[in-house]
Amino acid sequence: MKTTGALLALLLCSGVFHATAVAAADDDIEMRKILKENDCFKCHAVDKTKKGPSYKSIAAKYKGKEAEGEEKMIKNITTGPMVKLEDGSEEEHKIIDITDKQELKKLVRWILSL
Amino acid sequence: MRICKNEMRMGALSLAVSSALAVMFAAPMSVYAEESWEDEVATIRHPTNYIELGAESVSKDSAKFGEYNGLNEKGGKAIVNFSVRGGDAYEGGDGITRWSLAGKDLGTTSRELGVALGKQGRWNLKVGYDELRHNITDTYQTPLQGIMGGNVFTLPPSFEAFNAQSATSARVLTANQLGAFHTEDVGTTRKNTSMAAGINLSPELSLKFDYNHLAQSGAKLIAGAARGGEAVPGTATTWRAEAVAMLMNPTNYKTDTFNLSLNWVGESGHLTGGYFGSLFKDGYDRLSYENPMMTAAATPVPGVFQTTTLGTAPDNQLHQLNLSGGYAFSPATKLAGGISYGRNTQNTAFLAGMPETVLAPQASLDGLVVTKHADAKLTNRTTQALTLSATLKYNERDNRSSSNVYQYYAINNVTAVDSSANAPYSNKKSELELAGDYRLGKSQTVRLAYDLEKITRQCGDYALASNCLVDTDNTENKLGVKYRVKASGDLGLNVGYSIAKRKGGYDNNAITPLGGLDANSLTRVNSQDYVGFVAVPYAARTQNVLKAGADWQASEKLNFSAEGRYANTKYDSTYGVKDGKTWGVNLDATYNYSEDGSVSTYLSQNRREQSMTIKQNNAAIVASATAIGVPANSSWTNDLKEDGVSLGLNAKQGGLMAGKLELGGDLTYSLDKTGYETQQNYAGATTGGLTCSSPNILSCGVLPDIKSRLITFKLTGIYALDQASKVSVGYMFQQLKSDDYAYNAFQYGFTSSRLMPTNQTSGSYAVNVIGASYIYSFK
Amino acid sequence: MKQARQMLLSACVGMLLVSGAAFGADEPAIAGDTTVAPAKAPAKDLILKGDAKCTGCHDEADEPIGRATMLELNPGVLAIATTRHGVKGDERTPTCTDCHGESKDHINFKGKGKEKPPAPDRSFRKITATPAAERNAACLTCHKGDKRTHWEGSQHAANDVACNSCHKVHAEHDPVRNKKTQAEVCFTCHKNERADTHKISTHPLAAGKMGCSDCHNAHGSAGPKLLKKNTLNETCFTCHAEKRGPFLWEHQPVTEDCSSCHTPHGSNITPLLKSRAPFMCSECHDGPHNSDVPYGTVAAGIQGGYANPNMNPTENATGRGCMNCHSMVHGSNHPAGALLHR
Repeated sequence: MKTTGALLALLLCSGVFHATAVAAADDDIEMRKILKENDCFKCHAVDKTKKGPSYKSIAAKYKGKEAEGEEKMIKNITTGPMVKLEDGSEEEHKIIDITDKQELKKLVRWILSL
Repeated sequence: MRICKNEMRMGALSLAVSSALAVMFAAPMSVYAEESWEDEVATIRHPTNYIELGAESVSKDSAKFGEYNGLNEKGGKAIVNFSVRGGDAYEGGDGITRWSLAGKDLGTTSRELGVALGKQGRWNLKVGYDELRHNITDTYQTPLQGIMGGNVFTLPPSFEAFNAQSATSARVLTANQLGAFHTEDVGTTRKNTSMAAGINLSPELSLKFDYNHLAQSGAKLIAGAARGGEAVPGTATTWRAEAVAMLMNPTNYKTDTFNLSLNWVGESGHLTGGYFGSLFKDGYDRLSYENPMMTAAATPVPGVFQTTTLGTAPDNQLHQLNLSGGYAFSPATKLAGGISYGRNTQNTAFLAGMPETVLAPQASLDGLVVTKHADAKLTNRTTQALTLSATLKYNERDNRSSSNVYQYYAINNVTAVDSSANAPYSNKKSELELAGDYRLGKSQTVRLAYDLEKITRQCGDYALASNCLVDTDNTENKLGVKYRVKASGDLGLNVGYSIAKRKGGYDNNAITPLGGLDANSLTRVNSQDYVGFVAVPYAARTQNVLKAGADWQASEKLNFSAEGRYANTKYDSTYGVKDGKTWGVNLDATYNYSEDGSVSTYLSQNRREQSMTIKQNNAAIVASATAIGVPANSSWTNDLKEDGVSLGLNAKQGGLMAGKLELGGDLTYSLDKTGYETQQNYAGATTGGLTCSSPNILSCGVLPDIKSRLITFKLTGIYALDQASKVSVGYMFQQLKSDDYAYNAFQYGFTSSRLMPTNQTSGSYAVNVIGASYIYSFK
Repeated sequence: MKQARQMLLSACVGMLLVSGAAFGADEPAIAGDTTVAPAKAPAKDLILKGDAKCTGCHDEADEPIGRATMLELNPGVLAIATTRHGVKGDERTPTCTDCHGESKDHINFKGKGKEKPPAPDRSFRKITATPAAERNAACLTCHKGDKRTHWEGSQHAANDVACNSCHKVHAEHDPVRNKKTQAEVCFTCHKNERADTHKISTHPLAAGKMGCSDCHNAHGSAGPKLLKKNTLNETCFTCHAEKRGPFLWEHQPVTEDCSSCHTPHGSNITPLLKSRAPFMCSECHDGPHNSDVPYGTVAAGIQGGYANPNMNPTENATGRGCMNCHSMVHGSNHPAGALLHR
């Protein structure tokens, strides 16, 4: 029982100081899950170039021009235009399952914040 | 966790907390931007190692609850589990070395430990230790003195015999006798130490060796009966009274098992040749106990013993050579099969100088059983749609032990010497199976299978001129059909039916070792059974089995399945088991409501019925004024009815609290009932107007159900403190309610004058266990 | 400050959840068919030799978020690196396409709206178009012989059970290969045995001390009902060698078939019996001594209503019944043990 008490105390302490991180972490996980569900990570990694540019490089590219970035990105994921891949070939961009404008904005904003 | 590490530098935290947490965050994973992706992949390659330390607390003593899990005692137990693996095989280069060290449940008597090392594709070595304590009962009481697991039991010097009174109602235990009873925790412990090694001699050839040493200790309960022998005071009759005591039969065993095999795998064929050896040793050759139904002053009478001795399992050995292999004649035609030859010997010296042994023509059995096996299976994909297979199997048990006539006193016999010849039972079993699977289109399959099984039984070198058993052979023909269809992408259905007919051959003139109580014992035929009665495993019968099932993947997240089975068996013999019926239903549903959460539930229900008719073989029994007089040629029936229900509900939810908390819950309920009912096919004709259901006789009626109800509720929560650390908290409640009339006989105050009480109970319990542990994982 | 903290936070979470490492921008991984002339340096294998064409998309960035999920709709694949299938140094180790097929259609798929690429040549998902025999053929190219000698035509093979119905190859730990979790996998189909393990008398399956594979070889066997050894008795004797004998005095059904009396998965009657004495014994004996005598509620003793003050409920029916005296039911080696008393 002593061990249990000590462990619970430890748990509580970590809980307390994790609480502040929880809110932000929740969003991260939610966004990542959406990206994973829609197979975005098959071509875009967060910080590594695959078939498509990394999200960090996209965020860097549109730094200061977030509105333009948002528009471009939403266009890609809802209309599926031809895009140029890193290896030079061209392919239609995947259209994701989300159609709600607010959700799309939330998603691309999160990507641009990376 | 990385976040927290950075936050710690930025935020304000108490030193105590941050230092404590710093210790936990020692995971070797790196987060810094300078790392290359190769380092990250290297981390993916590394196996997850973990160490789990904690404690659990059990609320009550219960041998039944802790039967196999080592939690039979109230109080705390440590939780120690770990698994560590390493080696350059995990580095992604040319390394092939792997090693591992793992331990589970080290804090209980169900512990196991293992270490393995090897170069993949070259050689491997494993050493392991596994312990299991099987707790049998903690309510058993006995006046006999001797350690649990030992083989000699004595009575305390002042213990008087019971059963000495002529009036049965006067046969109660005295205060002195009751005082001698003490409780024993009965159980057996198995300790397995094993070693396994393998070496790849070439890409096609490998050699494997494994050895296991099983050391057993402790005891199981066994009944021992011996003659009471006291003359009824005031009469001249010696009193025939088997005196039964429940004893702790020692399981002082050692079993050494060896396996050596050479495997060759080629392009079209493969072959395995091997040796299997099993050596069994019993540390004791007898179990002796003082008979509490006897006074120390009893005059020695032939067949009456103050110390009773039971034999224990004799040492034995099995050495077996095996060869098996397969060959693919073409991608469509394959042959697989094997042969085995084994020699099983036993030559432990018989217990010598036993007063109950009148004549033992040999000092030991010099037993030898030769086992032979051969099997061959040919499968052929005749067309894209049709696959045929034919299987032949042969098994032989050839008991070449010697047979002789032995003379002895039975336990209920004072003067008459009984004789039996030991029978070296042998049998030969052949099986043929022909099956065809036919695919109708893309989604339907039909399978037709025919099975023929024939078994013949022999008597080796039986000392008598007759057969040693009545049921000389059986032949069973079975035809089965099964239809499977994928009704749509997500719904699968199957239905199958089989009918089997078994016939038997009988020799009613066989003289079995059952012997008898008189000089005619070696002439009693048909196992002393009524001709027309056939034992159930050998009786002619017709068995119909119907099975059906459905599996419906309603969506990616929801799955239902249902299956049912009905079997009906009818036996042809006039007496014996007449028919049996079983039916069962299983329903399952699983719903994965989210990526992180799932709920599943199941229901299993089954029922089994069996009825038998027995002929009252002896002529009318008129034992006393209180017994029923049984008319000649009458019979009685006994019906078995068994019901079982099992329900389960399981739920898991992960990803709570930003993916850090995982909760799991499990609830199972199971209820099993077995009941017997006896009816007599004759009107009770008695003196005194008693019927079979009269409380002074009770030879018919419905027995109280043997009932057990088990409820288990488990709740676990695992909270991830960071990538490396987790805290797990678990709670379990388990309740068993068991009602079993068998334990009535062992209670104090009841005592059949011929059965020593033990105060055993059926083991009902309600136990709570709570545990918490800290799990540290690292790569 | 807050923004910086948030960014750092997100970066940390990102890095953590994607297995904790950031990447240098100088090593791009290029996916796609290597027959197409690459614009940059050739793709690098991630885990196995020649896996570049697959891990271009199926890499660490695409692994499941956080820890292993319950549903595993899209399970992670890279954990195979921690298994024997991931040991590159062993020349026998297959690569992705060895098991999943060359899958050119899948690799060369060009995006089209919401469409997903076609399944690989051999798909091992729950809902798959690849028949079981074809999936199994992939595994059997290497895993043949030894314990899988009798696979063809065995009960599981004939019922279209595939290797991946039970085995998880991409997971670090394959639940079916661990005694503690093995029974759960088997219970997915064998529901009667699941109900049996909750009965009052069982083998230690629920306690995780035994697994189904201690008696059965799911891959096919020469014995009945997929038992490991040639006969049922031989299988039981591997742990219960004290019952092997041969004894001087044998009980015939014991020498032929332990399941004449016992049922191995679980029973309401201790110890693992199909029925109880004296009724069980009456199934085979109806002549000698008490086996043809009817016993009703007298077996429950005084508590069952037996009231005769001058006699006691007979031990032929109460307690262990016949086995109160005939206790050596498996056989006896005592010269005076012909009737299995000693």
